[in-house]
This record gives sequence, C-alpha cells and structure tokens, in this order.
Amino acid sequence: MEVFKIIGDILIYAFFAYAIFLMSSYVILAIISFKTSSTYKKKNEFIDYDDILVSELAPSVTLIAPAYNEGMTIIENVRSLLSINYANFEVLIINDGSKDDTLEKLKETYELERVNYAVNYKVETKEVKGVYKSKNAAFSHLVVVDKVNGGKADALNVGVNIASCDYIACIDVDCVLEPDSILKLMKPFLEEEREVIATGGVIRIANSCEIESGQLKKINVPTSWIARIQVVEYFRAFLLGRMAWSKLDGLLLISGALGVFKKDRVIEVGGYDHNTVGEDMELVMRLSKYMGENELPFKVAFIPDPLCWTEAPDNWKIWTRQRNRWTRGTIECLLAHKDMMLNPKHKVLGMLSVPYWFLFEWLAPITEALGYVLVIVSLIFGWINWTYFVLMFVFVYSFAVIFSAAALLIEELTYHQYEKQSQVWKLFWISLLEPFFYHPMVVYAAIRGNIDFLTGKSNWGEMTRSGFKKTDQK
Amino acid sequence: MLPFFETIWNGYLDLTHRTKMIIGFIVLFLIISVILLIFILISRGINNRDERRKEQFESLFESFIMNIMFEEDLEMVARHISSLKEQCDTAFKKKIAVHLLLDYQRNFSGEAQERLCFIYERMGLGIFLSEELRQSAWEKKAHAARAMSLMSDDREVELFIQNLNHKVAEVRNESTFALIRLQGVQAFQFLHGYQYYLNLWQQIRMIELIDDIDNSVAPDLEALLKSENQSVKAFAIRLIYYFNASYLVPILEELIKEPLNEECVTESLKVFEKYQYADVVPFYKANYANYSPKNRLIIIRLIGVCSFDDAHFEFLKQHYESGSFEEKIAITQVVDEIDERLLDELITDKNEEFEMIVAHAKDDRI
Repeated sequence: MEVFKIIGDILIYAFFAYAIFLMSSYVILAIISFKTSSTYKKKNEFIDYDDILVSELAPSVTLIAPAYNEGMTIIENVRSLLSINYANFEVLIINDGSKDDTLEKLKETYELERVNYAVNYKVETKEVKGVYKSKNAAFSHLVVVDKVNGGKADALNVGVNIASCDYIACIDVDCVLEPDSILKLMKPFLEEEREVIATGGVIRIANSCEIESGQLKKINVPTSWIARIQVVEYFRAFLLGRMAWSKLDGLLLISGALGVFKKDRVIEVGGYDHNTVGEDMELVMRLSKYMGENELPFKVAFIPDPLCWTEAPDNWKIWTRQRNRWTRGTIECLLAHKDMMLNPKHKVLGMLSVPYWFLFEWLAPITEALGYVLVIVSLIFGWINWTYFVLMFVFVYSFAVIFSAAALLIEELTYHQYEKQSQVWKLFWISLLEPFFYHPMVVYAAIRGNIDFLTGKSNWGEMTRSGFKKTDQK
Repeated sequence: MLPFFETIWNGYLDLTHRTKMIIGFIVLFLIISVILLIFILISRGINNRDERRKEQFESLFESFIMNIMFEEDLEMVARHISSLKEQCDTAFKKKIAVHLLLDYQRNFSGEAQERLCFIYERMGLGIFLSEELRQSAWEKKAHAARAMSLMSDDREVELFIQNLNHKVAEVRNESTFALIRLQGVQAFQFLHGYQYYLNLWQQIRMIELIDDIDNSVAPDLEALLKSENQSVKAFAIRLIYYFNASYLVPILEELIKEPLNEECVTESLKVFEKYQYADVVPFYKANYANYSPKNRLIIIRLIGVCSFDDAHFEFLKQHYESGSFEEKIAITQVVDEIDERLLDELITDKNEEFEMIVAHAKDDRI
C-alpha cells in the first residue's frame, strides 16, 4: 500500500506542476491580449473604413455560405449577406443537397435563372447540379449553386471552385454579421507586408439578442444559463486566447463561422478536408504548414472587434454534441499535422502553438478527468488529505474566477458591448458558478469526444437551433 | 474580535510551509479578483462620467459656436470666443472642441469655414495641437497631425515631414495624409525617401484624399517610379493609371525590364492594358512563362486590346492548348470579342468542356 501512496503523491505533484504550467500560460496570454487589444483599439480610431468602401482598388471578396435545409430562414439570411458594407463582393450560396425548399425559395424570391457555367474542379468535390444567377439587377451580387449533398467542407470547396474573387469569406449562413465585418477582416490583407493567408474575428453569442432584417438591433445577456456561461467562455477564448496567439504568430484556428482566406493559397493546399469534423482548424493548420515548408513569410491575422453573432446551443444535449465534435476536430487536426510539433521550421506554430494545443487543449480534460478518478480512489482508500483537497479546490476556483474577471475587464475596456451594469453583474455571477456545474460538463463532453474519436465516430452530430429573437416578436 | 484573529493567525503559523504557500496564493487570487471587479466598475463609472461630461460640454460648445457663427458684431464675437476659451480649460475639453470643430468644418464652406478657422486659432487649439505633436505618445502625434491638417493649419509642416519615417505606422500615415491635405499632389515628392512598406491600405487612402482635393494635375511621378522602395514604385504606377498620365507610359516600359515585385508587375500590366500600349506586347509574349497565373491573364487581355494579328492569334492558340482553365477562358473571351468565327479555329476538338468554356467565357461574371 505504501508504494501506491508514493505513486499517488508523485501523481499529485505532477498534477500540481501541470496546473501551475497551465495557469502561467493563461496569465501570459492574458497579459499579451490585454496589451494587444488596447493598442488595436487606439489604432482603430485612425482608420477610415469608408475609404476602402468606395475604392476601386479594394480587393474582391466572395462570401461563401453553405446551406443545408435552411428553408425557414434562408431568405432573410441571404438578405443580410447582401447588405454588408463592401463594394467589390459576391455572395455565393451553396445549396448542399437540401431536402427542404431552400433552393425553391431562393429561386422564387431572388428571381434566379440557371446559367451556363463550366466548373473547374480545382478542388475535388461532389457534383455541381447547377449555377443560378438573378435576372434582377438588384441581386447582381448573388450566385446560388445547387450541388449533391457532401457536407460543409465539400460545400465550401464548391464555393472555392466557383468563387470569382481573389479572397473568400467562409460564413455560416445563419450568423448575423456586423455591417463592417468584411471591411475589418480585409484590412490585414491590405496592410501587411508579409502575405496574409487568413483572417478571423471574434464570434459573439446572439442568444436573446434582438435581430431585425438580419441585423443586430439590441444586445442582451442570454436568459438561458448555458448560453450565458458561453458568453464568458467566448470572451476568454477570443479576447484572451486568440488575440494573444495572433500577436505571437501562433494562431491555429479561425472560427468556421466567419473567416476570410486568400483563395489562391486555399486552392494550392487542396481546399477544405472532407475527412475531419474540424475542417476550419485543419485548413488553417495545412495552410500554415504549406507556407512554413515553402519558407514563405505569412501571417494569420485576428481582429478583436465583435464581427459575427451566432446562436449558441442552449440545451445540454446539443451543447455536448458540439463540444464532442470540437474535441474530435482538435484531435484529428493535431494528429494530421503531428509533424509540425516541435518543428523549428514552423517557428512559433511548431515550437509553441501545436505543443500548447496538444498539452492544454487535448490533454487538459483528460488530465482533469484523471484527477477526478484519483480523488475518488483516494476517498475510497482514505488517502485524501481534506485540508489540501479543500485548499487546492479553492486555489483552482479562485484562479478560474480571476481569468473570467480579466476577460470581462478586457471586454469592458475595449468593446463595451453590454450597456447596463446589471448585464455585467449577470455575467460576473455566472462566472462564479461556472466551475461548479459547467466546467465538469466541459470535461465530460471532451472525454466523450476522445472516446468517440478512438471508436472511430466521425459524424457532425445534428445541430438544431431555436432561432434568434426578432424585434417584432417582442 | 482580536483574540479570534489571533487564533486564526496562530493557526496559520502552525501550518506547514506548503499549506501556507497555497493559502497565500488563494488570498492573492481573491484579492486580484476583487481588484479586477473594482476595475470593471470603475471603468464603467469613468466611461459613463466622461460620456456625461462630453455631452454637457458639447451642448455648451455648440451653443457658443452658433452664436459666434451668426454674430455680425466682431466685438461680440471676440467676447464669445474669450468666454469659450475660459470654459475650455482642460485637455479633455480641448479635444472635444477640436473634434466638434472638425465636424463643423466638414459641413460648412466659404466664409463659415473661415470663421471656424478663426475660432480654432483664437481659442489656442492650434497651439494645443502643436504641443500634442511634440509629445512622445504616438496617438497624440497622429491625432494632432490629422486635426491640424483638417483645419488647414500648416504651421507644423516640417514636423509632418520629419514624422514620415516615424517608427509607428499610424504617425507615418497621418503625417503623410496631413501633407497631402495641405499640399495636394506636391506632397508625393516626400515619399521618395520613404523607408517603410507603403501598404495598399495607405495607397487607397492617399488616392481617396487626392480625389477629395484635386486630381486635375498629375504629380511628378518620375522620381517615385525610380524609387528603390518597390511599394512606392507600385504606388507611382497606380497613380499613372489614376491620373491618366499616359506620357509616363514609355518610362514604365523601360522599368518593366528591371526586376519588379509581383505588385509592380500587375499594376504595370493594368496600365499597359488601359492605354492599349502595343510596344510591350513582344516583351510580355517572350517572357510569358515567367509570369504568375494572375498576370498571364492580364497579358492575354493586353494582347487582345492591342493590334491583334495572326501572330498574336497563333500565340493564343498555342497557349490555349497548354494553358490552365482560367487561361482557356480568358483566351476564349479575347478571341470571341475580336471575331466569334475565330473560335472555330482556336480549337478543332469541340468537346463538352469546350462548349462549357465558351458559355462560361460569354458569361459576364468572369
């Protein structure tokens, strides 16, 4: 028994060291993010986005939005995309073999007619059944593509093949974009001396917000607790995490909900991968790897402005499916590009980002789950030192609270989206409760994701949404 | 209460070193959490207070401005300005005053605009901005350069020129834009010694600024075309296109024989295409294989707009067979525009792909 106790002690010290390492990395990332966000905000005051809006020199962008069974909302979603603030753009809706009336509604509302179009399959995809354009000049920016069902990655690849512009913005059709989102995402492509291959922005939670004609009218804190916690979680991920990684040139992920890519580079690397559920992260990793291997200087840029509002899952079942998929996506990407790990050719990405994702994104929930098991075993054998147990719990809890508070502070100092003080209090209270009931669920979903990965489960899992609150539904 | 705390303290002292350390961290974390929360609340408080103060001062300033703008009696004007100057006693208020004056400046013209400049001068805002320009904070320098030039205040032109090569991009940009606002196209001469990368965003802004001021006279672009900074060179080539400076095209023809970056090559090709400059076609045909896929498409279009002959057709036919999908479409478009009947000669094997390419080429989307 003494041997087991010694092993237990060693494990406890190992866990402690891991936790300290993880916490230190969070603190460093938070400090970098804080500095970068405040500098970005100051610099943003000197930018006249209107100049680029009217300029003939503005590069062209194709907004690619795959749609599958979106008949209920497609008309409004397309209207929202067509109303973005950008001059030189086209909207490409890819009907991914919808079983409902998505295509019929589009044809009828936007007066579409089939056009002759030779598809150049630069990236391999399922068959394109038809390309449609509007007879009405008011919708001249719109192109609709009907294709055989092949999933999101396949639909995006069709968009890559058909897009006529130099840049592609891959968008979830049901997201609500800020009017200037494309302008802001295009800016790094125009101002960096290094080649910018992709840009991404902050995704915010739109549950309980008021939406009118595809535009965000009023920002509210979600009424559902799950969605409310995700607001704080997204603050931490985007304002504290990705901002810092972008500054360090180590950004591995551009959210699938909204990201702009340089089309030529996407084609060169073969487009989105059909065989992963983390196609957004995989593409960024593959692009970065390609640039690194060819010794081409590049940047993946991140815009800290809130650019895109999305509906977060507000019930545990759908939420667990989403997190399960994210975990599988992360594992698939890390394994597919394991040769980047500690590879000096890939600089910060290889030496820092990939090891970080491996240690703290993939292994963190596993380590935590092992910690829970160790506590249970210690309880059974009476090894537990209650003083230390309570102290360690309070130690970790207080750190989690600091981190959430820091994310709220950055949001407050920079974008200040929640006008009422009561809204900030709601977010703060929920971050006090988060470690008790939400975080264990995060660990559970991640473990399920690991198990599903090992057992070879590779589907997306159904995502149902309850829909945004419309102002006329008040 | 004291014995209670004493008991706790003594209990703490009895703890092991490891426990003490953990407790120390917990206390530290809790203190930091409380501090962060206080910061959040203070930040909201400051924001709200500043908003209120700003609104109050704005309404006061607006009423003064209206009195000054429509007052005929110069003595009254002087009195209004002096009391406004008394009110405007902090940097915060001066900044708001500058901001409001700039807003008015955009909406007024002629005599009203002159009066605004008079208010700006008499309130000492020019001196305030000059001082900002000399401070070390980059945001103050950039703000001052922008505000002074928008108020047509040229007292610090020398400093703007010095700041053209400032280490912070925003100061460089605002100084460049300020010089353009004050000196028009003549300001481009200062770009000759520009040491940094002149990005497309800056170039677009400069062109838009010139568009707002005056674009009737082309600047002296020869020096910029010969700049060693490739980004400045690319900008100069864009300006040839923009200013319709066709007399510079022969200089550009000389330039293309030198090593140029991708941006310069693309912009040169666009200029030649615009002016249908046939003299460069043999050069581009001879070096066709060395160009990027994107530039090859412009070369194809250039061949199409210049005097098209059998040799050109043969060249296109040859590259139709070996070219990429995009090249095929571009060649089909060019040939179709010149003479639809030539399409039959372009390719004899009219398979399904050819039919689609022709249909695609005729589609106005490409």
